Amino acid sequence: MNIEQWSGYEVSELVLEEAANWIAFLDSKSEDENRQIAFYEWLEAHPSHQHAYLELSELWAKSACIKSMEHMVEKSKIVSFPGQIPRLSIPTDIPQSSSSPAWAYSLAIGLIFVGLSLPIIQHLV
Amino acid sequence: MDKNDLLSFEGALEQFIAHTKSQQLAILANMVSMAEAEEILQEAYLKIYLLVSKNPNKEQPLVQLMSLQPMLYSIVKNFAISNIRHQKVVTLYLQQSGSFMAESESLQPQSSECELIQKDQDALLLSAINQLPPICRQVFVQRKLHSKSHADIAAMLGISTKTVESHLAKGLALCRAFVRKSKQEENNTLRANST
Repeated sequence: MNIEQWSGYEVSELVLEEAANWIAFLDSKSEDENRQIAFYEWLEAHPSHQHAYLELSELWAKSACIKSMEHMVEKSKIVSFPGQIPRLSIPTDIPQSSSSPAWAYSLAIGLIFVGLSLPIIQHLV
Repeated sequence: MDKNDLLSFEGALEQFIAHTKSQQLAILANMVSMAEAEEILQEAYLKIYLLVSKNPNKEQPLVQLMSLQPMLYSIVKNFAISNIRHQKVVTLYLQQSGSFMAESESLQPQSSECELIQKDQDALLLSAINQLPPICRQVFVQRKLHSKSHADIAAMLGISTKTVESHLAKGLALCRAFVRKSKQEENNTLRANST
């Protein structure tokens, strides 16, 4: 017999989802009093809400205790951050450019031209 | 909380304790010693107090507290189970060591056992985080392991704080589902092995 069976309660997925949403909201440190009051009203409304909140808030607290294992977090699939500059602050009137600067193209074309001309110059000399 | 609210809240808390304590003690009496039961109850009431005291709605504090009775019961039950588990680890160690040494001598291995259990739980949680979808995991790791604020994460990823909140909620729910599933599988394996 596991703890859930022993304690005699089952919490629905919907209630767990609501509890997770409330925990994430409380974590945002939002000062929206109406939403805070709404959280307490939700919490007090049904025992299953309290069970779900309690279980998830304990898991939430425990997940901060594995900082020493951070090097073991799977990094292979983590999307890298697009830099420290927020996407919205990039001016939109600048044409999209690739990673190479514009002068690099001129230099490359110049070198190719010189390279192609060399046999002709040698022939003339 | 202003002075009047505080007085009203503390009065309500006293009434709440008076109303619930004997019942909780009766439940705990079958599980732990009286001294441990008192200690567990103190911690449980403190948890409830800290939670309710943050409610911006200061009206009818007794009603608020009374409606959290199921939570009080769960907190008490969780503390009692942790206590019993801890005692089991101690007893198991003493039985396996085959000698009842002085308490001071047994402290070191006992804490090592507890450490192992803790590491197991941490490893399970780490696996749960590792199975999260990539962006969700990134947000979760930045918040829980790097202690970045929602606003910082939103700026770094170029998303709204609302989306950060949504990823955290999703990450938490997925971690819970993973941990629960793993524990169920472990229980099933143990049951199969014991038969």
